[in-house]
Formats: sequence, C-alpha cells, structure tokens
Amino acid sequence: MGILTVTLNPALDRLIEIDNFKVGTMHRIFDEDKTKVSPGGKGINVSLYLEQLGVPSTALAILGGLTGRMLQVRLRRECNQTISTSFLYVNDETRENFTIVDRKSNTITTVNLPGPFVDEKHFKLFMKKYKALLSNTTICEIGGTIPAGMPLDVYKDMVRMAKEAGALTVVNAHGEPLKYAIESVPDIVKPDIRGTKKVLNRELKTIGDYVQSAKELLSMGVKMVIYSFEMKNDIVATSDWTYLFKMRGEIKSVNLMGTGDAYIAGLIYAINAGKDYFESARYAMAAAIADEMTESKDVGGIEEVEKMMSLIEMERVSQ
Amino acid sequence: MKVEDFMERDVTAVFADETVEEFIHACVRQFRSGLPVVDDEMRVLGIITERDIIHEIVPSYMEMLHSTSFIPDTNITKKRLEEIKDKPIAEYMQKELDVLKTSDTLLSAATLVLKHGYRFLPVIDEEEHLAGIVTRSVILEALLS
Repeated sequence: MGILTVTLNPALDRLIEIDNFKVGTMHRIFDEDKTKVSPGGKGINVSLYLEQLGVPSTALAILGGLTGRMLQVRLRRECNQTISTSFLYVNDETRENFTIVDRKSNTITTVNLPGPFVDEKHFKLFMKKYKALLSNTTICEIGGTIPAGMPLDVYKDMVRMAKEAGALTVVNAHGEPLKYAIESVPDIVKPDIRGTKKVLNRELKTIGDYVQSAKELLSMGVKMVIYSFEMKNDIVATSDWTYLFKMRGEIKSVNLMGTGDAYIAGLIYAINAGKDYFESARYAMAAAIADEMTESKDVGGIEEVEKMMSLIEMERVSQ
Repeated sequence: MKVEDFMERDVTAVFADETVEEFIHACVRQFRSGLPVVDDEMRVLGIITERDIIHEIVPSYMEMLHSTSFIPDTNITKKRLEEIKDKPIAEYMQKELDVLKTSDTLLSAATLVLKHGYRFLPVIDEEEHLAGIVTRSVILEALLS
C-alpha cells in the first residue's frame, strides 16, 4: 500500500539563467550549468520531493511525443530509487515550461506551452489505470491543470473513486477543477490561488476572508484546508483550530518555484509517518522553506526539513 | 543484489481487454517490444509482446521458407492483422510465464532471462501487484555495476 500522485498534464521544465535578459534580442548560452531540464507537473514534483524525503510513491501521468519520452527517461534515470511510474501515452506532445531567470535584473519570465489533447478513448483508459492503482493506495494526491479534451469535472470523479478505495485524498488545484474536486469532499484541500484569489466565488483579500473560506470548506466535510497567505505564510484550518503559520525572521530565498509542491510532499511525508494535522502542517511549511533555499527542486532530505521547523512560529487565529 | 535494487520501477501495463491495435500503438509510443498484462487490481496476468502478434499474423509456412522474396506483397499478413486488430489481447498474451519477485536475486533473474530468452519479465511485490519490469539491458547494466 502506498502513495499515488496524479499528473494529468505534466511538463518538461526548462530553466535558463540569462543575465540582463532582454525581450527582442538574441541570447547565447555557453555555460551548460546555466540551463536545467527536469521532469515537472504538480504530481511528479510531489513524487520527486517525496523521494528526497525517503518516501516511495507511484507517479501516474499522461505523456506524449518526444517530450514525453524525454520526461520519462529523465524521471526513470535520475529518480529511480523510490518512484514507480505508470504512464498513459497519447499522440500529442507533452508540454514544455520555460523559465528564464535573470539574477542581475531580479526577474523571472515563464512561458508555458499547451499540453496534449486527450481523446475520450484515452481518457477512459486513463481512468481505468487510475482505478487499478487505487487498489493499492493509502494517500492519493491530485493536482494541477487538466489537458484539453478531458472533462473539467474529472477531479470530482477522481476524488470520489479514491475515497471509495479507502485512500486519504489531497487536492492541490485551482479554478474550475478545484470547484469540482470539492464537490466530492477531499480530505485535504490546498487551493492554488496564484493568479486569481477566488475560491467558490469568494474573493480572498483579508485574513478574515481566508478564514471564512476555510470554514466554508470545512463545513462541507473537508478535514484540513491550507491557504498560502501573503507569499510566505500559511493559514491552516481544521474543524478544531485555525492557525497562521509564519516564518520567524528572514531566509535567503533563491527559488520560489515548486515550493507549493514541496509543501504537499512535506505534508504527505508527515501524515504517512503518523503525525497529526498540526504537526504535519509544520513539516509541510518546513519542506517549502527548505526548497526555497535551494536553486533546484531540492529539500535536502528529512534532516534539512526538520532543521527548518525551528524557523516556524504558529499564531492561533480567532474563529 | 536483489531485483528491487535494479529493476525498472515502471508499472505501465495493459489490460487484458484492450485491443491488439491499442497494444501496438502503446508499444510504438513507449519504444517497447512488449508490456505486462494486469487485472483491475494491478495483479499480473501475463505479458504480451510484438512477437506474439507477429506469430499470429505471419503464416506458419513462412518460417520454413529460406526466402520470402518471391512472395509479391504483404496482403496475407495485412489481412490477418486487420482481422485481429479489434480482438482483446487476452487471446494472444502469454499466460504461462515466469515472474520475478522483488526479493529475487540478480543471479536468478539473469539465469531465468538467459534460459528462456525473455526480452523482459514482470516483477511482483509481496502482495503480487506489478512492481516493475526487468529487461535484458537492465540485467546487463546491473551486472556491470
């Protein structure tokens, strides 16, 4: 029995460092260290971080074309210690996400390509694979965008199926897919509010808005709600408590990409180890901080994460 | 060294009710010559390979011929493939085959693969779920290390 991460729309992440990046000009890269290629997509990232924490998982994903093949080879070659893979292959190309980091001007530019089209036949086959893998799953992590062709309410069915299989469900999504996932009442929800700070038609501006939104989700039956608040803080709520998790002091932040996925991995690590939700939220934030301090997707192992826990302080939020 | 230390942790598989055509597409997309066949709970039922399909569609007398150059076209083979492409792979898969366990040794895996000429073999865990596969090249790489 184990952990299953699901990535419907994975990506091959390409990070390029260019000093003084300028739109409309040609930039040549001579130093190989200035470019990095890594498998990506929320679920795959969570599996990668879990591996760093010594926790085995199975990554289920839809791949396509040569990019998909490259992602597969990278994932298998570089991360074959504890990650099992199960792929469904489609005709179109897996997407690529380009990130241009300019350390001189302190800017990040991202270009995300579209993912493949998944037709009805492949969608049904994917759901069959998903169901088969659920038979051996204790924690199921679902998150990220949905590729063209797949129904927007697919997360509703996926959460329901995971719960029927007896798995704890963790959802990390945004917009319509999140809305549908909530209809099946996942155990843990971390709304992705990058871009639009709105969940179930509620605008999130003040801390009170976040708390009210969390209470709304909890009243539906969700056991734990996590909101990223003002970049570096988290509002975490269960039916028994609501806390603001804050970072004590300042850290040298070199990377904010993938920290949300590191958070989920830290959370799953702790829950899988039998920690309660409060302690798990501390592990989760510590994993995100550890990741933020490294340039690549790396939390540096469980010892490093546990060191970061001393940087977190918790403040009870009145209900 | 145990099988779980060097196996490819890929549980990508096909179901017995998928069609021959779907299997062929899956092989091409994955650069694979065959795949494990599993049930609805990821238990291994067998394997299916390109060879199983080719064996089914190429007339048996062809194997006895030294040359096929005088045969004008591939119509017979093509027609046969057309006939079976929508059939479930359950009809053509290898059901009686050796399966490796995660706890088996590298030596036993190498012996099994060499003895029977398998290109790959599925690996199962203690609960008999598919845990990965072992290919000839994976065995050779493990022997190198």
